[in-house]
Amino acid sequence: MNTVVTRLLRRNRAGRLGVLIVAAIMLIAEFGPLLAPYGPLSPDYPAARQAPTLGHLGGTDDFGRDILSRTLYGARISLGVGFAGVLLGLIPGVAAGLTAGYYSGGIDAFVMRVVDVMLAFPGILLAIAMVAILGAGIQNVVIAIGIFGFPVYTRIVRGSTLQATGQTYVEAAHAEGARPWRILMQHILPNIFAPIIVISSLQIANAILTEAALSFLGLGAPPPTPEWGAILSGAENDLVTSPYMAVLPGAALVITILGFNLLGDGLRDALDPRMRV
Amino acid sequence: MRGYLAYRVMSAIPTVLGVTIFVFMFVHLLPGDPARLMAGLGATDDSVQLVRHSLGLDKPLWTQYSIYIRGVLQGDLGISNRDATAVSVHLAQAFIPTAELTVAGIAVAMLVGLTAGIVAANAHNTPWDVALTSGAMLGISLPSFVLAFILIWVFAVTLRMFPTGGDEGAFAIVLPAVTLGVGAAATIARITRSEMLGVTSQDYIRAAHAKGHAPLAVILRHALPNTLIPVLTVIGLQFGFLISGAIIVETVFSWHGLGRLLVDAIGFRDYPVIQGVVLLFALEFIAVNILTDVLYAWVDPRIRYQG
Amino acid sequence: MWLRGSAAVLAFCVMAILAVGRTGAAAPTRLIVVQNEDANTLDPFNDGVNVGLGIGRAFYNGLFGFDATMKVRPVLVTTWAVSADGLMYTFHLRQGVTFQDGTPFNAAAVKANFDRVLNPANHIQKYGLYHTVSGIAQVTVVNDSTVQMQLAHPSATLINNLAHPSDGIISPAALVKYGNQGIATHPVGTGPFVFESWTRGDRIVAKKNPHYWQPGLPAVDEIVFRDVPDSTQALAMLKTGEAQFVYPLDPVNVKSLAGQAGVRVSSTPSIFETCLLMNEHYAPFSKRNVRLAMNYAVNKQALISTLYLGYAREMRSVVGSQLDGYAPVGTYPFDPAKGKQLLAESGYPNGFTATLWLPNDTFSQKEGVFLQQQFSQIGVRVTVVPMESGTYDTNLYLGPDKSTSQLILFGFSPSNGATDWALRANFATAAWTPALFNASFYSSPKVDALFAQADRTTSTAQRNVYYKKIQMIIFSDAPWVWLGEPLDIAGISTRVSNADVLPDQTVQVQDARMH
Repeated sequence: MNTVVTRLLRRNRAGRLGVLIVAAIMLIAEFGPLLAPYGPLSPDYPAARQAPTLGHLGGTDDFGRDILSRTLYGARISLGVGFAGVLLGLIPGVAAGLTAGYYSGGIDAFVMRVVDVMLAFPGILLAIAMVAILGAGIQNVVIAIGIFGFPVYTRIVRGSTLQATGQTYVEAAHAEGARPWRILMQHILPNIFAPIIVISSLQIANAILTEAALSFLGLGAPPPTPEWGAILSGAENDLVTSPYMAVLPGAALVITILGFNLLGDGLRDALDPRMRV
Repeated sequence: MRGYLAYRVMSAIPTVLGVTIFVFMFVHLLPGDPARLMAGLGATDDSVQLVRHSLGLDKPLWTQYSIYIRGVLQGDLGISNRDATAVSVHLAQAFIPTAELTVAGIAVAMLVGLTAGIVAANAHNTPWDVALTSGAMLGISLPSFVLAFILIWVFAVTLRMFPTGGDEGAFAIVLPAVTLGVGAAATIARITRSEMLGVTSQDYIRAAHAKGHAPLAVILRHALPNTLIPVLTVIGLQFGFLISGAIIVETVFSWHGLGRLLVDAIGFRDYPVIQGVVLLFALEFIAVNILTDVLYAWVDPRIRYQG
Repeated sequence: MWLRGSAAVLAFCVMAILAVGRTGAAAPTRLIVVQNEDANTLDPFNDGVNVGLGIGRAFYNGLFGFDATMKVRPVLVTTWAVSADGLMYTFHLRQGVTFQDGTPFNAAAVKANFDRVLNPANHIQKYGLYHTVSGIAQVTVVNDSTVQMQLAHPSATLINNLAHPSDGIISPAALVKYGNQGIATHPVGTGPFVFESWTRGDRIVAKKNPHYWQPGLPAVDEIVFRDVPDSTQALAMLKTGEAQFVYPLDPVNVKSLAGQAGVRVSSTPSIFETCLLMNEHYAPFSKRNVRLAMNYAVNKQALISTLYLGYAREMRSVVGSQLDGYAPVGTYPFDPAKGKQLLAESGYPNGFTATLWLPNDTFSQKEGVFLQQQFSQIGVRVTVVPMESGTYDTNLYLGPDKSTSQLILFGFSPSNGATDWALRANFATAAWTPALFNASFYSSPKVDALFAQADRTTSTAQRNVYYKKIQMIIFSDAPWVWLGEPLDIAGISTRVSNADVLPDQTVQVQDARMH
C-alpha cells in the first residue's frame, strides 16, 4: 500500500493534483460552514442580485443570499450524495458481481441478464423515473444514483472475479476444501480491490454529475437546499444579466468532478496501469 | 462469423424482453393518473373512469402487459394517450433528429478524440501532451448543461457563428453535437493516447521509423491499426452513452428528438409513448453493443466468444 | 481552437446529410412565434392548455372572439337575440364563409360542433364548460344562417364561453373524415391559416388561407409556432432575430433587451392570478384566524419586487382586476406581528408545520422558498415539495376524501374572461376537486346561495352586485393567500404589429402584420 501512495503522490502529477483537489473539497465540506461569511439560507432582499464585491465575493442571488456561502455549504451535500450514492450501488454490486463471477452457470447468466437490461435502460431516464416515483429529495437522489451504479460495479467485479478464480492460489484453496465464503473473502476480494477502488473514485465523479443534472432538471434536492446543481438551475434564467451567479457553483462542480476523475486515474496508474476500468 | 452474429442476436432476446417488463413496471409505478390527465382538469370521476376504461387501464396489470407484448411482437407499439396517434408515428418523427444528433455527436467525438489522442501520444511528455490530456480530463468533468450554456452564449449570442439550436438551417446541429460529443471525445482521446503509447514503443514501429518512413505514415499505417480494438470498444460504448445523453442535450437545445418526446410523455403520463421510446433506446443500445462486438471479432479473429 | 476547427469540418458533413429533404426556400413573410410548451392537441374543444388554444386561433374562428383587451366581439355571428327568460339564444351567422376544405359554414356546421361536445359519450374536455356551466341543452337549425341554443338554466357567461378559444368551429366534413380523435392533429376550420405540419416538441406550421373571408387578412404568408422550453434559448432566438415573437419572457431577461435594436418588450395586464391554497381539511387551516394570519405574513410587495422584478400587481380582490365583475374589496397588509397574535389566539402560539406543494419549475420553486421565509416569521414551518408536472396535476385534483394537501401554490386564469367562472370554479362547494378547481375545499352556504341568485338574473349590472358580495365574503373568509397578478411579458420584433398576448395568457397572432 505504501508503494501505491508513493507512486500516486510522487510520480504522477495528475494524480497528485487529484489528491489535492479531493482533499481540499473534503476540507471545505467539513469546515465550509465555518468559512462561510453568511448563512446559506438567510435572505437579504435589499442586497439582491449584487455583482461580486468585497462584502459578497461571489455576489448575491435573487434573494440576496451570499453565493459564496451557499457554494461552500453545497460541498457537504455534493460529497455526501456522491459517497452515499456510490456506496449504495457498490455493496450490492460487489455482492452480485462476486456471486456471478464465482459460481458462474445459471446464477451468472441471470445476474448478467439483469445487468444488461439495466445498462440498456437510459441511465438519466432511470434516475428521472426513480425521483418521480419516490418524490424529490436528497435521499431519493442517492437511491437513484445507487441503482444507476449497480450494473457498472457488478460487471467489473464479475470480470475481475472470473480472472481471480482461475488463479492457482484459489484453486489450491479449493483443493484444501475451503468454504466458498472463505475463498471469496480471503482470496478473491483482496485481489479485486484495486479495480473497485478505481471505479469507485470515478463513479463518485459520475454521481456528483448525475446529482447536479437531476437538481438542474428540478428533480434533486428540494429548495432552498444549497446544492450546486440547484444553485445553477436557479441562476439559469439570470445567466444573461447576472452571469456571476453561476460562476462559483459551476466552478465548484467542475473542479470537484475533475478532482475525483484525476484521483481515479492516478489510482489506476499507481495500482495497475494495465487495468481496464 | 455469421454464427457468432446469430449467437449475439439470439442472446439479446431475453434482454429485450427484460427491458419490456422493466419499462412496463416503471410506467405503472409512476405516480400520477393518465386517465385523470387525459380527461382533463375538472372532469368528473365518472368520466375519468370512462377514460380509464377506454385506455384499458382498468384491466389487471398482467393482462395489460400481455396485450402490450403481443402488440409489440406484431410491430404494434400502441396508440398515444395524448393525441391518439400511433406511437410508431411519433417514434419515426422523433427518431431522425436524434439519429442526426447522435451520429454528428459521435463524429465530433471521433474526429476530435482520435486526433487529440494521436497528437498527444506522439508528442509524449511535451506541453502539447499535457495540454491535450488536461483538456480531455476537463472534457469528461464538464456537465453537459454547463457546457451548453457556455457554447450558446459564446458562439450563438456573442459571436453569432451558429444558431442557438432547434433546426433552423444545417448549422443548427453544430452546438448540440459538440455539447454531446465532448465527453465522448475526451474518453476516446485518453484511450487512443494510452494505446498509442503502448504500441509506439514496440519494435516494429521503431523498425518502421528506422527505415525512414515519414512519421505520419508510420502512425497512420502501422501504429493506428494496432490500437483499433480497444479504441473501437470505447467508441461503441460511448455511442451507447450518447444515445441517452441526448435527453439532456435535446432539452437544453430544444432539439425535437426522442429525448424531448420522452420528457413530454413522462409529464403527460403517456404510457404507450414512454414504453415505445425506452424500447427504442434499449434496442439501439443493444444493437450498438452487438455491432461493436462483431466488429471486434472481425478485426481480431481470435476473439469469438466473450461470455 | 479545436472547437472551431472541428465545427467547420462537422458542419460540412452535416450539411451533406441535411441537404436532402430540407429545402430552404424562404417564404416572403414568415412570423416565428416562440412559446415555452408544445400544444397538447389542435382540437380546440378538447384543449385545456393556453398554448394550443392560442395557436388554434390561426386555424379556427369562433362564433365570438376577444379583442386584445378581451372585450367580446362577434366573429362568425353577425347579430343575436336573447329571449326574455334568458333561456333561448338566436344567432344569425355570417354568410359566404367556407371551411378550408371547401365545406360551407352554416347552421348545420354549428350544430354538428356543439352536438359533438355536448354528447358525454365523446369525452370532450369542454363538455363541462358548454354543458354544465353554459347550460346548453339543445342546438337547433332554424335555417341555413340561423341557429338557436336552448339553455337548461340561464347562464351569465354563455357569450363569454362562446368567445373562449375552445369554441373554434371545426369543419363537419373534417370531423367525419378524421374522427373525434384524429381531428386533434388535422385541424380544419374557417380561420386565416391552413394547417401545414406539426412536429411534436418542435413546431406547428400554418400557411396563409388564400380564401379567408375577412378582406386584407391574413397579412403574413406563414406562421411558425415554435416550442422552446428553455427561456435562455428563447431569449437568444429573439436577440439573433431567429424569432419575432417570444412569450413568455422571463422578467430577469427584460433588462438584457434594453437597447436591443429591433425588439420591443410588451408587458400587459393578465387575468392570471398566483395564489396559495390552504386546505381547510388540514386542522390549522380550518380556523379562519389561522388563514388570516397566513395572509398577514406575506409581504406581497417584496415578492413582486424580488421575484417578479416589478412585473406583477398586488391584488385587491379574490379575482383578477381585468375581469368584468371585479370589485376591489380589500387587501391584507404585511403585518407579521398581527399574524403571530392571530395564531396565538387560535391555539398555535408556537406555530405549526405545513408542506407546500408546487410545480418543479425554477420560478415556482423560488416562490416557494420566498413563502417559506415569510411564514417562518410567524412560526409556521413550511417544507417545500416540488412535484414533476404529471404528479402535481394529479395530486391537485384529488377529491376531499383522498387529498393530503396542506398548502398548494396555484395559478388560475378564467380563460372565458368571466368573473363568474373565476369565482365559481374555485370557491363554490360544487366545485370541490375533482369536479372543478376548489382544492382548498372552501364551502360557504352564503356564497353558494348568491351564485344561485346570480344564475336567475339576466341583468349584468344586477349580477355584478351579487359578484361583489361574493368577493367580499370570500375575501373575509380568506381560503387563499392572494399573491399577485403577474403581467404578461412578451418580446416582439418591432417589425411585427397586431400580435398580442391576451390577458388570459393565450397568444393572438393570426392577424399579425410584418413590415
